Amino acid sequence: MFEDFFFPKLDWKLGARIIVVGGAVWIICYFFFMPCFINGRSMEPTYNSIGFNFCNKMRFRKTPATYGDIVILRYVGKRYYLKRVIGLPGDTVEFRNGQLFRNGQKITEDYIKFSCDWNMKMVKVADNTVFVVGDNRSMPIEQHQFGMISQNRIAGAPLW
Amino acid sequence: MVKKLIIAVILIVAAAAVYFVFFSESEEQKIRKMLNGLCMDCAKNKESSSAAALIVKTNVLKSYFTDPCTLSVYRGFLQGTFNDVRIANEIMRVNLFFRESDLSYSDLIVTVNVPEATASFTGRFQAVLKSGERVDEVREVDLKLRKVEKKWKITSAEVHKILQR
Repeated sequence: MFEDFFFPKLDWKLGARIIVVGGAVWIICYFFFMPCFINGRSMEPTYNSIGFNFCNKMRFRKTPATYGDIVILRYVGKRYYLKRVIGLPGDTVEFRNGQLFRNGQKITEDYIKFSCDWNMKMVKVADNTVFVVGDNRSMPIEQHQFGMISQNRIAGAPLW
Repeated sequence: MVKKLIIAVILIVAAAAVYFVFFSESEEQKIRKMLNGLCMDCAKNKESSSAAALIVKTNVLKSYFTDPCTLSVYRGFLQGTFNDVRIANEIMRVNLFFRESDLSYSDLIVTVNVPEATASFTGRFQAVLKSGERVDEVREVDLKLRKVEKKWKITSAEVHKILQR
């Protein structure tokens, strides 16, 4: 049994099995759950700086991303960003001494665990875009990649 | 006789199908081809840096743009309305700063409404400065195109950061 499992006989049945399993894995990974490695500190402590996850490509097919959703965004080639949505089209977004203000109202963000001193002038979120930012706001604002991004760059959401 | 006629008709239909499937180009394919050409002609490598090649390239590059063409590439640089020759010269001038450069695009979305079209894509510029420093910039590009004498040309180009603050 053990030998059959790890050293199967090389025949056409094994070949067919490899093709079927390989094809199924490819379809699942390409269309539904894309494997991705996390490498970066911008979403700490929600996601560790190094990790593994799957991008659930079906997550925003029917309902668009909204406030607080964590999204995976296409950047270029195989590089993606993992960020949180804090603004939708038409909103104004602003940071005052590390505090987020949306449409002039102070927003409580339970997921922010580190201290933050960011200041950013009020920005109006353009049509067909969302405003995204990472959870690690202890990073200097200049080093943190965030801002308005086209909605069609949202590839999905992390599976966990 | 009828049998031969039917066979002839089937052959003609099959040939037409093969032509449309394999040889005819859709407008989207033509735009893609034009962009591939533009990327290739904007790139700089050892073969393309001779004086003769630069002159040829300048002439080729201007054929990708209408006269006038509206550009918004970078604050203070290539922002406004320019003629095709000026744009080609500016591209060549920028290339002088680099030892080698490469332009590529991905995620192309084309909307065609002949004789006009729009194309949005992610553009990537990778280069090595004469000092040896590497440049790798990624931007979102929105183009407006018009078909002029069976060729798609850029009437306006807007380049902006993927994440805008």
